[in-house]
Amino acid sequence: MIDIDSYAYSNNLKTVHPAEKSVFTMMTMVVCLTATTVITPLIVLAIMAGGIVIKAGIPARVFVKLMLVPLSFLLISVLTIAFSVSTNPAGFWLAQTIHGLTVGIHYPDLITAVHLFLRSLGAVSCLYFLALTTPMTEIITVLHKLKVPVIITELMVLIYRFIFVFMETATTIRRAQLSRSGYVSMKSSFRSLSRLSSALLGKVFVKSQELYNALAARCYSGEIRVLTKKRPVSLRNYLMITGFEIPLILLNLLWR
Amino acid sequence: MIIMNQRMIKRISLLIAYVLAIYIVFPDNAYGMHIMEGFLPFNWAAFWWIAMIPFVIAGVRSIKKTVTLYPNLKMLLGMAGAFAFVLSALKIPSVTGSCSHPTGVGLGTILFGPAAMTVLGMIVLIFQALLLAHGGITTLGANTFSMGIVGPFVSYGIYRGLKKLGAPQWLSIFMAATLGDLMTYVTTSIQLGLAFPAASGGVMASVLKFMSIFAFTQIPLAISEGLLTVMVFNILTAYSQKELQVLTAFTGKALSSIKRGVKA
Amino acid sequence: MSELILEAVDLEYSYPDGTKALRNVNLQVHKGEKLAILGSNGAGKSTLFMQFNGIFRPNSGTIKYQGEDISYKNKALIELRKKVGIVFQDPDSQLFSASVWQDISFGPLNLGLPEEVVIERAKQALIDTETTDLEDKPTHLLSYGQKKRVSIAGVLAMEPDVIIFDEPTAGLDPRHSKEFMLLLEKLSLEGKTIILSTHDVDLAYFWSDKMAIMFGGEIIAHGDPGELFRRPEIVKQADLTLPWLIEMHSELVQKGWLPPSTPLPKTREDLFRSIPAKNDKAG
Ligand SMILES: Nc1ncnc2c1ncn2[C@@H]1O[C@H](COP(=O)(O)OP(=O)(O)OP(=O)(O)O)[C@@H](O)[C@H]1O
Ligand SMILES: [Mg+2]
Repeated sequence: MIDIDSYAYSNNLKTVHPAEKSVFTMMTMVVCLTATTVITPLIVLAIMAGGIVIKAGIPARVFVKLMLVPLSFLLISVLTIAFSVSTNPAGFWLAQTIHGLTVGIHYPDLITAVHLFLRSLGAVSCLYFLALTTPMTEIITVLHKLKVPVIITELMVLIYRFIFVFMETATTIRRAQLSRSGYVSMKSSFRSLSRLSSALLGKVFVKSQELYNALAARCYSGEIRVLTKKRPVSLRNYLMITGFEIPLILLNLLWR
Repeated sequence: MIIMNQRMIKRISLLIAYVLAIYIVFPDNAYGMHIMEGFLPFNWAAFWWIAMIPFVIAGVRSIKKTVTLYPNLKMLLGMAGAFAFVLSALKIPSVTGSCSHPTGVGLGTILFGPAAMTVLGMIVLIFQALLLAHGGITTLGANTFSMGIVGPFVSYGIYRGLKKLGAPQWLSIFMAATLGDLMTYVTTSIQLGLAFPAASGGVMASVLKFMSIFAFTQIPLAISEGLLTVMVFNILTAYSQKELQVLTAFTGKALSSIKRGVKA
Repeated sequence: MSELILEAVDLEYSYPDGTKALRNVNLQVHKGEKLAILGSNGAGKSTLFMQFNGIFRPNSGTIKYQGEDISYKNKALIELRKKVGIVFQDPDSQLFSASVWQDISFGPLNLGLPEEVVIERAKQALIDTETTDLEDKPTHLLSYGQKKRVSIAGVLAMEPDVIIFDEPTAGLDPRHSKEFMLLLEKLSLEGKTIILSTHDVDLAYFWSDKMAIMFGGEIIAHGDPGELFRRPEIVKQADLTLPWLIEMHSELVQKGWLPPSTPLPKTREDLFRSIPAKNDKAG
């Protein structure tokens, strides 16, 4: 996780306006989801891989590794859709019958599964494009501009910040527990984990009061207002986005 | 006859291989609960987004009311969200021996109430998508609906209901956490089944397929999480009475009953 | 003597859990003063600081700002906090945003300043704390000392009249500690009143013009740093050590290298200057 987040701060596209990257991501994602052919997701995957590896300068190895993360969910779900179990062996495209119970694949299910597999990979590459090139604080700024309720963006700012603080605490506690062989058996694992969780939760209470005090000391009066770094708006980027999306949309519309 | 037997053995071993494959491909169970990016067709993704929004608005309203009264609780909520994220990244031993990740749905709901959990759940899901690539943006609606709406409301209902019936504290917490988890996965299966009806048997067949696949991993996880939640509450009630009291701002009566439960 | 700016009168404070953290605390801070507060862990330094801008309300006694009791009404508190700033001990409980720039702009925005002024001040604060190159890094990738400097910048940008630093140099490397002391010097010259707590007796001794020593929630001594360090019973009671300048000085006096009438050196240069050259002595 630390990986994705730290690339967001150190890639070659980090100074590009976050709205441009978000528009590009979301439009491509929608195009990919509404694709009627398997070609669209493949093109999307190629564009995003190019954007991530060539434009943003993220190592190809990292990109491939990240693309494998959702693979377990994907494989399981796609196989579940492809395979059916039925007492009626009729209509299967490929089947095995055991004691009158047929396990096999219906052809339409297989088509759905293949489409789904490629579509998901295409969409995941879009997600990675945004996540790997845009610092979270800037994504939150975009949400703020989109008039997402202020309380949500404020909570996001706080949660994002303290994820890392608590992650560090959790790692420290876990290391201490491991060094006192805290996870050797199932029982001790449960005990250690519940101690860790309640220690963290205790920290949540104390730290949140401290943070409130510190913010109050800086004249906080109910709303967290901050300035955000201005990024240059680039017409060229918007033209480029249009240039990518229009052919894809046409492909989706014309391929029936 | 002999041929028959050989075939049968072949098929049985195929089945065993399939189940094993699930465990090998799918060792990180809780993350499997989130529907991945791009998996739902556009119409269903949009449907769940729209279905989520009224609940989020209600959650935002309820949080706003609370934090105007107690401004320091905004920081508490923020840190609770961060805690939920960190918790979900920890490994919990599953009763079957494999490992999985707690969801924190039961714990969070009992502490903060279901309305706040909807908003926190959604934000945590956004971060899981963007920082861990678990779940996604297009599937945020569906995932929030199962983890941030159905799970918490089921947990809450069961917790309140069992307390009213006079069940012991630990049992109410255990059932709330376990069933909250289970209902989350049932909801996910229904969402997947609705989106991908089977060619023969339709939605129902598909829902059943998904439920039976996820059952392998989710039932043990739900039980583990139930146990963990009970243990965490035992520690909290022993050492953090004052903090629990602060939380009555979110849950009203629900928590004062914890206090009573402990004093009794 | 210049006018009083902050004053604690008969403060008593207990935490909600019953810990009695302040007992009968009386302290006067003059405008433009450099006040160091010393005391062992748990002596009550941080607790006292929280009283000074109304974060905690004393159980009895009062805090006076420019001669008037502070009011605990919301508006009045915000006005007070514009003038009295605190840099907290733990940067992880002060920095609320992962973005350095956002965090630093938070305080000045709360003062109701126009955006250009806020940008101006935030930039200056970044320069003053040498954090300009950290601006685009997320807080969680910063080191402890870097976070500390960012949290200092967040308060400097508000330009308060009184700045309270809770153990500012803990976790800073020698170079950045030194830079920080230069920054304090600059703030002093601008007329700011500075209060800091520290466990570094050398720093307290050479930097401060007034020193207060806390022990068990009480202020057991308050006055000129040189005089306080020459009272062994206080140094002992508060578990302090002596600054090396003073130890060196008394050693030199004892061994006859310096006449007993030599004034206490305030800086190492003072000390070195007072030591006679060898041939002088021989001659
Ligand atoms: N939130 C709290 N609740 C209860 N007791 C507290 C709290 N914070 C501090 N205390 C107690 O109050 C006393 C004074 O603590 P304080 O933090 O003011 O000490 P300090 O002088 O700043 O110490 P240090 O040098 O370690 O920072 C200590 O006994 C401490 O345990
Ligand atoms: Mg302190």
